[in-house]
Amino acid sequence: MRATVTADDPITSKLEDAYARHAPAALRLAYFLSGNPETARDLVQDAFVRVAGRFRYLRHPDAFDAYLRRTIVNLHTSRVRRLILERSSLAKESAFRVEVAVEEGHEARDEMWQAVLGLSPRQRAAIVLRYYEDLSERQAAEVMHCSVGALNQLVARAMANLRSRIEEQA
Amino acid sequence: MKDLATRIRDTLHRHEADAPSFDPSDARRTIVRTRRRQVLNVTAFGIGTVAVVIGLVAGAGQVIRAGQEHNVLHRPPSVVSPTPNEAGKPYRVLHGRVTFAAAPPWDVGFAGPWALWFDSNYEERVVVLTDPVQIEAGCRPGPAPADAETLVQSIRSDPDLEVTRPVAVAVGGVQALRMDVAAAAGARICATWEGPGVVREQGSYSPQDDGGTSDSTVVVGSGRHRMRLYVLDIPGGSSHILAIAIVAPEATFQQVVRAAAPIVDSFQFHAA
Repeated sequence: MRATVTADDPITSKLEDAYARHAPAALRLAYFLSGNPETARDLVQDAFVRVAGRFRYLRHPDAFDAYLRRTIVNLHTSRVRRLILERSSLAKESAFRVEVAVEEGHEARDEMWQAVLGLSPRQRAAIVLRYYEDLSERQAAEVMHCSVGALNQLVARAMANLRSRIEEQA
Repeated sequence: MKDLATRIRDTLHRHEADAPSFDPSDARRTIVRTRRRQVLNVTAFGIGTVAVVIGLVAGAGQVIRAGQEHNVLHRPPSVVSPTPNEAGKPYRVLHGRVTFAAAPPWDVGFAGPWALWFDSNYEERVVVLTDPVQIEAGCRPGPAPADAETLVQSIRSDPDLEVTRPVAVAVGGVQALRMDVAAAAGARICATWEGPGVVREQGSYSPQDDGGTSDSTVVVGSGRHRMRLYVLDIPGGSSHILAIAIVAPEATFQQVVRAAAPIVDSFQFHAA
């Protein structure tokens, strides 16, 4: 089951084009979600493999961006859930309290950045999609795989959390 | 709220530069993984499709078979003549001069003379005797008869037996005499036989065997059993006599006779 990659392979060159076109924006989104460059690279690679691994997504280049964005958000949410389970299991064993809400290794340059990174994964995703990607409510809800109402609730709670954290820091 | 949203936008755009940049080596690695994934997905899709097709074909086959079985169940019964292989297990008597066959549930209950039990029930049996003699008064074997007709006459003259008029029939293309035998009212009971003896194989009697449990003596139980007896001279110039006795309780006698008919029909006689 070994795939041979050659420059003459039309599928490979098509994939290379797709990756070069979508990777920069995908890496930024993944970085804002995870707060860690290495994690962002892994997320984008995994998401691209999943999406481009299915030929039907390649047949709809207009929708590829949306598929990739949704997959990155899903992978990140799943990853954080897995980390929380692993770390809480370790915490029970070692009797130490472990903070899992904030990724390690991020640079805390300012209060707002610190506050955004302190949000839950889904709240952070909602904020990034709405205020960085500038997606509409409907588009953001589709990426989050939820209703518009649920998305608005996520955004409202995220804003309330951010406001209280900023006030606390002030 | 607007100020907060603006601050969020500004913060995120300010941190764009911290995001990892596009790396060609990452791209190459990702493309290789993607191609492998594509091959895996295509293979899995192919296997799944083949499995679905096989399942559909098998399911359709089962439906068709079920329909055929349904038709068989509702088909009127047909008359089937058994082929030689279906006729049953073959038996040889007198070194192969006489052969016959019996299919289950008929099976050998004991050997010499041939006694076939119906469904392992010794009370319902077919006994094949060569050179039989009559059981006379005192439950002892009589003299060897000259031929089949002599034997039939002596059996008919036994006051302990009720014997129907002999009917001439053909067994294996050979003329035979057929009669039904039962114990007469007040018949003498031979020791443990629980009824009068009718015939037994010549030479198989010993003085110590005074009618006890010898299997070579064919008995009709007093008032409880009936016997259909065929007696014939074996063709080919020999002096051998053959007796075929079908014995069963009164209650199942006709049923057992019908079940034994294929055995009687299967008799064949061969040159020495």
